[in-house]
Amino acid sequence: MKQTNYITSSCIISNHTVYKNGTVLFSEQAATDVPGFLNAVYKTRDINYARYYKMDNLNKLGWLASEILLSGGFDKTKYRPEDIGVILSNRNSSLDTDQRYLKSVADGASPSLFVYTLPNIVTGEICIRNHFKGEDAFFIAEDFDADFITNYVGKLLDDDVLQACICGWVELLGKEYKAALFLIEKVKTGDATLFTKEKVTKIFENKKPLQDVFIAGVGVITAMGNNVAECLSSFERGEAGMADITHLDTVHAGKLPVAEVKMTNVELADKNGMDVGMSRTTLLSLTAAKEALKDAAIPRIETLRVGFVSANTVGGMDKSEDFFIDFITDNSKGKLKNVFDHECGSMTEVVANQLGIKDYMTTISTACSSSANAIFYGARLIRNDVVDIVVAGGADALTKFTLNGFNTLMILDKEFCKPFDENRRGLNLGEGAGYVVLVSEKVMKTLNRPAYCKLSGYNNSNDAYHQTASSPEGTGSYLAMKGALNKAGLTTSDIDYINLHGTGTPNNDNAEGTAVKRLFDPHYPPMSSTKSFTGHTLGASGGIEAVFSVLAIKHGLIYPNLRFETRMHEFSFEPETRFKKGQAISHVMSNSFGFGGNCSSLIFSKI
Amino acid sequence: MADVFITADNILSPIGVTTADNFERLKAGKTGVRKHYNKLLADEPFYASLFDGNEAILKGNTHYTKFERLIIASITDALKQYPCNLAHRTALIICSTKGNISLLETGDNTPVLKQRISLSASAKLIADHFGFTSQPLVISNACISGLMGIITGKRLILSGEYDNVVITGADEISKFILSGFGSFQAISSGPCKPFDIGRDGITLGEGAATMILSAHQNSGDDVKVTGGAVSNDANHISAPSRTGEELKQAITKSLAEANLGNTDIDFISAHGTATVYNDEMEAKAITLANMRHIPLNSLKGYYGHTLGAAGLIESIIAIQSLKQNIMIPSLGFEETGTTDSLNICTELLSGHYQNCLKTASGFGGCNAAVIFSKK
Amino acid sequence: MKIYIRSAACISPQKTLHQDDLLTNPVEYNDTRLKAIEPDYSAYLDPKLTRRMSHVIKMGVGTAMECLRNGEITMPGAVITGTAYGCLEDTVTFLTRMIDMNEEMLPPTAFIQSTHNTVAAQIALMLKCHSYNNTFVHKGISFESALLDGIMLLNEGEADNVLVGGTDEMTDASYTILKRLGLYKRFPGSNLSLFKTNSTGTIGGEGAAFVLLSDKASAVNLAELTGMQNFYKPKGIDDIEARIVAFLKTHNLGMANVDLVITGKNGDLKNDAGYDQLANTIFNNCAIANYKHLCGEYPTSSAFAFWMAANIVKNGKVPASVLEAGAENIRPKTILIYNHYLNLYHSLMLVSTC
Repeated sequence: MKQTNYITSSCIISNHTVYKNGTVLFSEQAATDVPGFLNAVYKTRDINYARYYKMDNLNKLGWLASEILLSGGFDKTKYRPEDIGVILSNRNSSLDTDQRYLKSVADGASPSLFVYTLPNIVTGEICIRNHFKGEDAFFIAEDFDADFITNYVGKLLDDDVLQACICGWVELLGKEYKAALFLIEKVKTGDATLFTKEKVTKIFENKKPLQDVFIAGVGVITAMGNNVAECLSSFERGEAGMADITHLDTVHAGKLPVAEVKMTNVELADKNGMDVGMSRTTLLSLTAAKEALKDAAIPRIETLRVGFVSANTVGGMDKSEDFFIDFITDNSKGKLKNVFDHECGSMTEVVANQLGIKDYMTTISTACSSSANAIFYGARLIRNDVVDIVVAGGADALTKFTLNGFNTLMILDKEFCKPFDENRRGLNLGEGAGYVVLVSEKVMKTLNRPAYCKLSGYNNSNDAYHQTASSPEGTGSYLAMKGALNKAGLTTSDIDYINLHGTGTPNNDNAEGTAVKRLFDPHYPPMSSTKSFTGHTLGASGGIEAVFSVLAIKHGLIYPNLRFETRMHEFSFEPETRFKKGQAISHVMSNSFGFGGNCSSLIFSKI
Repeated sequence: MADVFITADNILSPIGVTTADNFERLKAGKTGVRKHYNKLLADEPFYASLFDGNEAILKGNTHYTKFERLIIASITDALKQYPCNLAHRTALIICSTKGNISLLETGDNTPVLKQRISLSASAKLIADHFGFTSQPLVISNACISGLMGIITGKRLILSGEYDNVVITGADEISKFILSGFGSFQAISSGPCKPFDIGRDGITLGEGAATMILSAHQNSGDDVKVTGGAVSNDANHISAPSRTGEELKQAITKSLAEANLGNTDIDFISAHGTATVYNDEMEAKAITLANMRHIPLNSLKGYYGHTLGAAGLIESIIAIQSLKQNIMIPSLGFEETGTTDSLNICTELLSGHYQNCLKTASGFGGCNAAVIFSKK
Repeated sequence: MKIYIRSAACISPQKTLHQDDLLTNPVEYNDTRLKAIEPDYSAYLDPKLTRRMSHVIKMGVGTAMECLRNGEITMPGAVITGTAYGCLEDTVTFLTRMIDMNEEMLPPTAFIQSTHNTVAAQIALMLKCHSYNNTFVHKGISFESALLDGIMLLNEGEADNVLVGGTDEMTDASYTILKRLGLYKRFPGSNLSLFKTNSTGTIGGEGAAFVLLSDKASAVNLAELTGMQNFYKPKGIDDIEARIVAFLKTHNLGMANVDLVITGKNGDLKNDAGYDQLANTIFNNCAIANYKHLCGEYPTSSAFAFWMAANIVKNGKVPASVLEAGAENIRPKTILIYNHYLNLYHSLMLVSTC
């Protein structure tokens, strides 16, 4: 009969630190070696147990862990001695002592050392100390197997072979060691937790909770506005950025509407004090990244480690297009200057140089989810203590390459796009850039004004269905949204607004809608696709929409989904069509999905 | 409770390479124990039951160590008798005290070597050799490892998670092990004499054995594992209990699980290592359990103490005894040498055997008891 | 936590896909462009799938599959690639057609496969792998960025068996353009005498190398990835030295603990000056090996070096074909890879026995 058993106590000893029930009991980082540390732990126990000094290191470790495990509350008199067992495991058996024993053989083998060349002496020592006479066993496994331990020990308790059991992992080889012991009982005590594989794994891993990452600044440039303020005012006025093609020299001008940034290359270069020969992607990137960094106004930034993680998909393609016109007629022709910065990484490098960032930089290119990936990669750089601050997001300029590419896929709408509408016909391409400034908690506390919000959840999952099309079940989108919720420790009902990927193509909106339905049905939060304002800015879209999501929390906004008329017949929900201010918005989900099945979701949360 | 059948088994020892070989030779009184002069293993001559090294299975392919080859050969024979689907609901349990420890005696002490020595590395190689898809389990519980393997295997079947469990065990006698037992002054001067007044220590032996447990019967005369329990002395890490109370507890628990009384047991296959203290403790425990009248043997006089394999080898002989209704005499016993006298079997016995008890005890204070039954 | 290289695989201008004889008989080229030796992909990939794949996609996906096979892992916990140029062949094809055909009647295939994450995506698609999938495209540290991502995933406990690779292809167009930009030697010679040429310019190359990272100890593991770090625009050779020493120190090591340095020398006098200076200072007591004469120079060539280091550690011997200084019979326990890209991006990777 399967019963409920509880972890009534746990003890972890690793990295020169002792944890009891998840909290640090003792730490001795100054200890020079493992025996020195173990002896220091022994001293804290304030007991005199002569056997301790006879034990080898593995036994000392296991015995100390059991002492701490059983201290403070465990009443062994509740049980008969034969009802308490000890089931342990490790990777290297008694190899640590085996080596020492073998060395000693030449000078006359020592029986007191030899006995410790059996791993199960660890269970023996614990039984002797506590007078436990139940079943004891020692298993060898490459890694701690929480699944096996929970099943095996659970069964011993369920079948009444034992009434209580110490189980876990005691490993020591040279400088590497770890003990993780669990006391399992059938009766729930004070702060006992359920004896499940998940709980055991969590306690075993004993991970420091990763630090929070905050958004301290935002910057954006799109067809609807050259900065944050202009974009917000276009939202309020309901003014989309699409129009006829003006900057791009293409046969599609006048036939396909696009969402071009209104500034010319000359204006952008002038504004930033740059050479006009730069790729437009670089100019857009620099404009928005500068705004974000200025907005964040981080005190004493020169003393901090700063990174730049930028995304794009086209790189310097606008210039390469010029180069290739001459190059393909004669391979010795074409201005090399135009192709020198062709690589995506060049955009990042030029902008980082302008921003004075050199501690860390990299570029991500995963099609239309590129800059969402850049943002959470940036957050992870902070969480892993690589840097303190990251300017993260992405940029893409409209190019003939992408315009023609999407045109061959026949997913461009000849009218302004209608995301999530039953009669949607495709997307409008756009261009722009969007960046957020991510900071560690330490940096956040030095800011002169409150941070906007925090990045609480993120996930990237792959649809693994088709190079360009999304699966009908929206598998990748579903996994990304669900993964981000899990990461943030939130449920669907916590989400106050979804900034949809919502490109306006029949395939995307159907797959994304199906994923939203699978996850949220029947309670749907307000949602909209801001691509109805900005067009699809490809590698920039995740960054731009992250900025909009952050602003939604800061100002309590929900953005309208322009031109929506008819609900899609597959779904019972529809996007928000009005601009709403003063909403109580605590958690915003932002979706970005791209070619290659690359699906990412970010969750921003109010602090 | 559902039945757990022993559907196949193998003993690979210096005495023979199959269960049938071994049993026939034991009936003929053949022992594997003889005097060895091997400077690589010990400075002085010693008695042990060892492979002579010329066995075909120990030659050729150097991919596997001696320990692994013994196990592979033993499992191969058992699987011939009961070919089960190793990729489906079949577990593998490996029992050993020291596995590949002899590598430490000759190899460079590098991280790669440490990795290679680990029992889990052997387990993976063995599992891959046969194509087991479940994660192999490795038990290293001193001298009760083999019985612990049977008890664990039985539980895995009863949990419903597995249809078959292949339990295998082996240990190789190396300088490491000989010097260790020697340091305890625990090695016999001649072939060991379990329970005898003149006993003066253990004789070591090497071997491998395999037992396949199944939820399904293979043939009409399959013996079942009906009970099993483990206990700890909580007394001393290298000396057995002074009272035998804890081994008795394990015996009582396993009888209760098998739903049998002590009078239902027809014979006992004891651990009987022939150290003064172990045999004394066992005699006390069996007396406490009211079983001193039951015919009892120790097979250490034939095989020596085969450590991680001992529980399996001796269980398989006991199972053959149940099947053939023939009990093997306890080699080396002449005169009672324990405070409580036991009914030691000194000649081939025959009878109508239904149930038998197998026990073992080991360093760390661990004890195990298993019950095997016919029908 | 330790990070292990569970397995590795490489396709390059050398016979590297099967590692039985690690670079013992190097292939000689008398050209400034080294092309990857492609295997019969039908052993790795379904011919139906590869028919439309470009050179870099086949190299990348084929290498990834071989790496998984070597590591005995069927489903990786994450797929991360680094590529500076992405899918050049498809990009140039689409661009050329677009210009030639004046933006009309273009077939979509080349565009579809031109996105930089195509290799990672195809791996996911082929394996039906729904896990984390990312692609870094940052010039000479594209592979290093991917590697850092993998390390962080393991640190965070987000994934195990992280497949990380570096891929780049050389096309006729890119070779011509890079040659015009002055990257390559003006006169071809033997790649095996590359370091004796005493002139500017290097030789171009291409390839794919993948590794499987895990935090689990295993008998199959090749090596341990002890650490890695990048730095950008160092102030000079003293700064580089100081950073290398500091990097080693963070891992409780000094140069005395390094048994072999693998440098990114490429035969270009300007490029190699820094390495040569270090050979006389902090590297002077250390065995030194080079690799770019075998695979050519390309932005993710450090992935080749990383593959090579893992195998050297595992095999316990250094191929004579790569050794510049020091004894052939050393068994390196700790290898430092030091590479720089155009003297802007510098990367350090430490690989040791596990």
